[in-house]
Amino acid sequence: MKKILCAALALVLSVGLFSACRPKIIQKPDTDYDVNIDIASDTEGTLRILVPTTDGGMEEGYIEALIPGFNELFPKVEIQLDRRAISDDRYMETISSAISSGEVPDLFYTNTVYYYYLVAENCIISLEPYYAAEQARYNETGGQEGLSLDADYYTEFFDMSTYDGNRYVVPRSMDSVVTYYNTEMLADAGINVKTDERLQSTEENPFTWNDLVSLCEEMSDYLVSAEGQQKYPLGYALQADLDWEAVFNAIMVSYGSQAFDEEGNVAIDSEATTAMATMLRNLYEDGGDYRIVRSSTSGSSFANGRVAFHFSSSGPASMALNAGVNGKFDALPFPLILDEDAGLTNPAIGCGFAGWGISSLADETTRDLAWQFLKYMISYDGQQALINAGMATPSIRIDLAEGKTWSKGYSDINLDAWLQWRDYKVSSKFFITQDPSATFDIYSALQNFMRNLVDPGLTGATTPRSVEMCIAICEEDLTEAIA
Amino acid sequence: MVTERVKEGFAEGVATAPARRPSRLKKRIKGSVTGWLFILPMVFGICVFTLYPIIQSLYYSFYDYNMTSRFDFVGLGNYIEIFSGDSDMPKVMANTLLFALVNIPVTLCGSYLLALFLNANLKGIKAFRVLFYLPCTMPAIVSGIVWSYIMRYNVETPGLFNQMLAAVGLPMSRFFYADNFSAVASIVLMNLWSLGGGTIIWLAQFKNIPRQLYEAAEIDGAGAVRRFFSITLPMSTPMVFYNLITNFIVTLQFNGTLTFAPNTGAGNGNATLMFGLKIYLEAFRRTNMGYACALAWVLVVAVGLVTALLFKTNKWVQYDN
Repeated sequence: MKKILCAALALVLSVGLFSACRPKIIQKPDTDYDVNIDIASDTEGTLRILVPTTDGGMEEGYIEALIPGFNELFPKVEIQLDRRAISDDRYMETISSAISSGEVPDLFYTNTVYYYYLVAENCIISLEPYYAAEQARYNETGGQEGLSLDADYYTEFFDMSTYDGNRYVVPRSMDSVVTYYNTEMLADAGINVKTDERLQSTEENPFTWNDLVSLCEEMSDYLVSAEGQQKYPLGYALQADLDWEAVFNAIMVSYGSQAFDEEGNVAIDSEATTAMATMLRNLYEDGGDYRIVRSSTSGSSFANGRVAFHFSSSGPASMALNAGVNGKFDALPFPLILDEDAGLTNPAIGCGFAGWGISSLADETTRDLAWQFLKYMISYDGQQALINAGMATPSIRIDLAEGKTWSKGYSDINLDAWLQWRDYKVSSKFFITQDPSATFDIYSALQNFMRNLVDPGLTGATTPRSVEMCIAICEEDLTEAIA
Repeated sequence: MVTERVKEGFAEGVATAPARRPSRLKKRIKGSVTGWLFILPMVFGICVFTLYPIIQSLYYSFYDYNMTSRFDFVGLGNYIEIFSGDSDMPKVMANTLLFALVNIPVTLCGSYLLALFLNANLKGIKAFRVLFYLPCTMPAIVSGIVWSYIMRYNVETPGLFNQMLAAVGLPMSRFFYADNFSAVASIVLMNLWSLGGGTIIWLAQFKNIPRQLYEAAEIDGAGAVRRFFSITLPMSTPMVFYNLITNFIVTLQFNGTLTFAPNTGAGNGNATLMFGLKIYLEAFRRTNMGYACALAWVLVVAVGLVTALLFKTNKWVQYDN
């Protein structure tokens, strides 16, 4: 009898223990749910907003700038910042830890690459019901209330977070890659930045990749001269940040190269990829001792004044923080890769977004409050608050972006560089056919591909690998990533 | 007569004693309740923070669990995947074994020799003891960052080692950035930084060796080398054995490359991808928590088997004085 009792007790304890071990998982949220956009101003509540701690406090500063204005509308809503380490390597870790621990923010910070993971893992909800309700209100009131994305916003940035026909993220601003150039270096090399036709960007005379290459070659000639070496030791022509998805994706799209086909099969080994890779490798080799092109993950450093051209999405205010280039830079759009003879007729400009999505675990009231916060963020007042807080990228609102108010004090810079060629702007979607857990491995595979082409030293290769070998390695890495 | 007395006694007992004598179990519980109360906090801590996670990880290892939206039973699927489907595993095993084969002897012998030196009666030796132990007080992440600077491979701003190589006209080394054995060798080199930690244990063991043995040996005319091989080395075999086992376990679990090697610690061409790091990457980078738990249990079994093997072959350890 004792033995039976012990066995039964052990069984009950085991079942209890394993039940306790069973984790909570998120079910797929409804894409069609009831929303309330008429929240009473005396509604009480708390909103937990995820902000990265790894960006020097930039996003946190933006949210804090929004709080006073939002609290004027909803004085009884407390905003709590959920500070977490967020980077390409650690985003999934951060989010999954938050969810498995039950400490889930109501608003998830996300961007062009991260959002796919959030959506696929059921972490955030579709915002379509809110957009529809706001648009209906806008129509009813003749634009006095509600929200109309088509009327007031750059909709393509809202569309970038589309998945299965639903949009999930409200972008706080628009990120678009531009080409910065160091006016002093170009002038030293004998290039007249005012009159040189290659440094113009108009409908008739767009700034193209060929223009950039031609300028870089001239720059390289200067850098290897005695004068150039004296003034710019270790200088080089183009910091391309080719391992940044906004850049390499645009180049790949322009060439018609793709990581995966529509069925999700690895499709990197193609004529288009070979043509693109050969072009980049030629740039690397043509530079000689003073290489023309470099890949770098150093973001918007502009090589501290030692590089003539630099791709970046930072606004002029951010760029001016760099003492090496302050007061001696201007901007052009990302160069259009256009060459009819080579069949390149589909140029692309890399762009993306940073913004917030609403947690699928938030209750109805919190969800509606979270929406109100996002709505305030993209309102005229909200965007002004962000601009005053130092937001260095163009506003997501057409009126503020085109009015150039987004970059005070830099009116002499070509601010149109961020806005030109709207039709050519593309965001990164190369991972969308794959399981979200593979996103960052795919990203790494493509980053390594670019580094292999133009910075072989970074990838451990003792000698530069051939273009064919680089493609083969990338194909292997992609296959492994999705295996 | 005896029977009568026994009967009487029994009858008396029945009449005077309580209905039932306390059982042995009750007695034991009553006798040990104070002890149990003393160790209760520790027992509670072990149950919550050790036992429960161990059981939980075993449980998860039979599931496809991604920490957010998926928790599907796969039976032994994760274990089968480790041994038959995961293309990383041959490289992981090779790197881990290579690292263990090089790192364990180097750190064991290195720390032992260092301890012998620090055990000498020399002027100012205490300062050396402090100096050699200082690196151990530095958090691992800080030393990882320091070493990534020391070994930095960059044409424009080379690290200290590459500057030294360049100064004597040698080509720069890629260290952690290499895609071959050099990457693992760099980690072994880096681990020498914390030899002082092991040295402390050796020193403690040396101090436990009775002085009389050395005095007797000296009287018998034994030189320093003879004293080392006949007294110091045999007398420190228990600590050699302890260090061997702990070093082995720590080496198999090593994931320090996370803080300094490229490609999220896996290195170029997965040159520094080892078992401990593989578990971390699967759990948190790919959010394959179920698979990571299965990997952890494979590691537990492997460590258990090798430890058992070491215990079976420990006849060389001299436990007696």
